[in-house]
Amino acid sequence: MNRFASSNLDKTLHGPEFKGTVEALEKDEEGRISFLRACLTKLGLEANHSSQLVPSPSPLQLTAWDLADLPDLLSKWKDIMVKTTENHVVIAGDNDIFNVEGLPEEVIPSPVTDTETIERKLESLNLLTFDSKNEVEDGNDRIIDYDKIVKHIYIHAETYPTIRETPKFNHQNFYLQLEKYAGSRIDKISFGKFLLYAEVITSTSTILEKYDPQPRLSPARESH
Amino acid sequence: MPGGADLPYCRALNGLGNQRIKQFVSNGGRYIGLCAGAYYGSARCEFMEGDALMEVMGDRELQFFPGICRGLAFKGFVYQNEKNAKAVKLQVNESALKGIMGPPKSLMSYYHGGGVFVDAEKFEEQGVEILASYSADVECNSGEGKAAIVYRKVGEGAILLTGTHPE
Repeated sequence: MNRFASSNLDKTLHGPEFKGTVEALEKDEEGRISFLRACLTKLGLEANHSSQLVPSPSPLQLTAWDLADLPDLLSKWKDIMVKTTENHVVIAGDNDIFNVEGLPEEVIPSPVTDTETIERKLESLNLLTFDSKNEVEDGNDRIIDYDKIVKHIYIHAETYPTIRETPKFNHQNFYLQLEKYAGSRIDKISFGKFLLYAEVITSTSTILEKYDPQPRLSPARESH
Repeated sequence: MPGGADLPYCRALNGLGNQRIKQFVSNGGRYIGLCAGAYYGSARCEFMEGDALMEVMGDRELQFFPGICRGLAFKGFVYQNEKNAKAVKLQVNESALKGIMGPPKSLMSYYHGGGVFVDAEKFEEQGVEILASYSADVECNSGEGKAAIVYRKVGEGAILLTGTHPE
């Protein structure tokens, strides 16, 4: 319910009158919200009281049924991973930029001499944040361009994520069930062999459209 | 039902579509009509009468507001361009929102092309409640009062129609 909130209007888009309109609305954002909330309450609907209405995307967690398979998968990513001058390891995907953490030593790419292309791309995207918490500064209800947020991939090379790290998904249990399902074929199946999990992602349709299938990202062409 | 234009809604939903919407609300659902959605949710839409190019006049099927939604409350509307949008002051009807936390006495609201609910006060017996009115004089005939935002219980459900964009 924020399509016409002043934070989503570009006051520079038209002349001074429009600018004045947006500024008048900015001043009374609180009034707008409390009135709107009252209307929704009158309708018998439950209006959200928290100021952040949209959850931030959460980091992606990469695991495998057999964690020893991960270095092999990751070595196939070598072509698309770049180490930046600030020692971040980055993948520039079709739609998003990914910051990769937890890479085993042997697959960390050596700093490439020509990081210019990727540095330029990072700059041109005017990314909102690059720190590992992936928090978006959003006190108001601005509609966020999620393409501009760096996504984080954590590689779990040693153990599965704990329940505390992924409270909504039990990796241990998932792989246990996978073993039960696959039985003796567990080494041969491709489904579930690798798992990239996130609690909140930006767009499932983008993932399906732009990243599926990505033969570079998986040794076998899997259907997602 | 958002803003934009209401004729495409008529084309898509007249007949069976509107029947379903009415049933949905009667059975406990909610309809929120914002700007074009408010014209569309009224018994009659009277938009820019007399303007050869822009006029849209006609009866509507939903009749959630049993009267006419008439615009422009304030001049300057053009399609596909927000440059003439205004911040208009609305006076909140405190008695209609009694017991509900927080509504201010007045607020500024984004306006572009929306209507006024003509003679809204006269429909009180039919359950229409005015939640807010335009503070300034409107530039079209609004009948009794200058209702900008109306609410009504319909069957087991309820509706909200707005001439401005509080969203």
